[in-house]
Amino acid sequence: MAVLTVLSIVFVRNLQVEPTGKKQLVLETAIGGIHQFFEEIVGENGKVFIPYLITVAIYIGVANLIGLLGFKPPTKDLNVTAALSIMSIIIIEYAGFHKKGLKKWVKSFAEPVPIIAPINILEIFIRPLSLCMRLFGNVLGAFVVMELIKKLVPLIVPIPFSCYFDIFDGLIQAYVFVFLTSLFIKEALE
Amino acid sequence: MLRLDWNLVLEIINMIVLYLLMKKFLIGPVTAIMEKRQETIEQQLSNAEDANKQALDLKEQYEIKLEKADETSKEIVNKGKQEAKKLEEQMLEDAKKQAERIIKEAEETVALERKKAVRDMESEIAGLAMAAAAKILGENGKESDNRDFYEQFLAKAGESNDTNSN
Repeated sequence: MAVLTVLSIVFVRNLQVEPTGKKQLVLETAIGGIHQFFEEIVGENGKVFIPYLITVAIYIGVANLIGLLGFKPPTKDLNVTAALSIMSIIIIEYAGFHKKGLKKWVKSFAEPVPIIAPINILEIFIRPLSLCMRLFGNVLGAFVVMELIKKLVPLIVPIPFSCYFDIFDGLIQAYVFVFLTSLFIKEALE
Repeated sequence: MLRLDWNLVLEIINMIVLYLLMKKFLIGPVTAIMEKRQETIEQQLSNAEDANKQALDLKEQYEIKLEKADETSKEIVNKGKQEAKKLEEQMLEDAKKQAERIIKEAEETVALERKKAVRDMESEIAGLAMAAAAKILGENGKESDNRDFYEQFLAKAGESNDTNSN
């Protein structure tokens, strides 16, 4: 966390309106790209939530990639993914509540037909659970497999597996997590 | 491993803090600067559009002016042509008049001359006749001659008047 903050401060320190350095260009492309990606999903009304989504994306991405440096990925801990998914569902429901007001928010559970209301209510718990478990399971699985491969063949062979399990899988999971969260937010805003 | 404990709450707090930090230090400034640039670009675009519009307006004005100038020049040329025509006609008329007058004068002169010539000739003829008469009278002063003349005259006159008198 501290590292991310310090890095951000360093990167952001001398931004200018007229782009001068490559550093700024890369930073803007990255942040702007992610920003646009979320904006397309959540729409105009969900702009408030974009910074949070970007934070989560960066956090999960870094957390998953940190395994490359020999750290244990924090997302391997169920508590972390649970915390992330609980915050996600809080934000999702807050978005719907804020947009529709109490009455409509309650009513929205009975759509499109009242009979599926129980399922809709169950979704409140299922969504974070699935988010949490997906991330946790993927990272843990990748971690375990990587450890096993490293134990088995410590030389050369782990490299391609590391590329897949640490980089590809980690980024995909970060992407899926924030993508689903933003989709749910958009759904709640409708 | 599948166990939730107080770490959950700590993680949530961590996330919130990270979110606030990120928002303050990374996303805030970057989006702010991007928006600023967007604004600048839009402003410049609108400026360019304004300038373009102005230029177009000016062009239109110039075109109108050019057209007007063209019209004026045409008008002037037309006017000049008309005046020239008028002048030409007038000159022609004047020339005609003058020619007519000259001809008339010439005719008058000719007529006068002829009259004069006729009169001269008449007087000359009269003179000649007189001279002839005088000559005849002077040369042949004799009685016989006079008588002959007279008789001859009578005879001629009498012949022509016979039918009337008788």
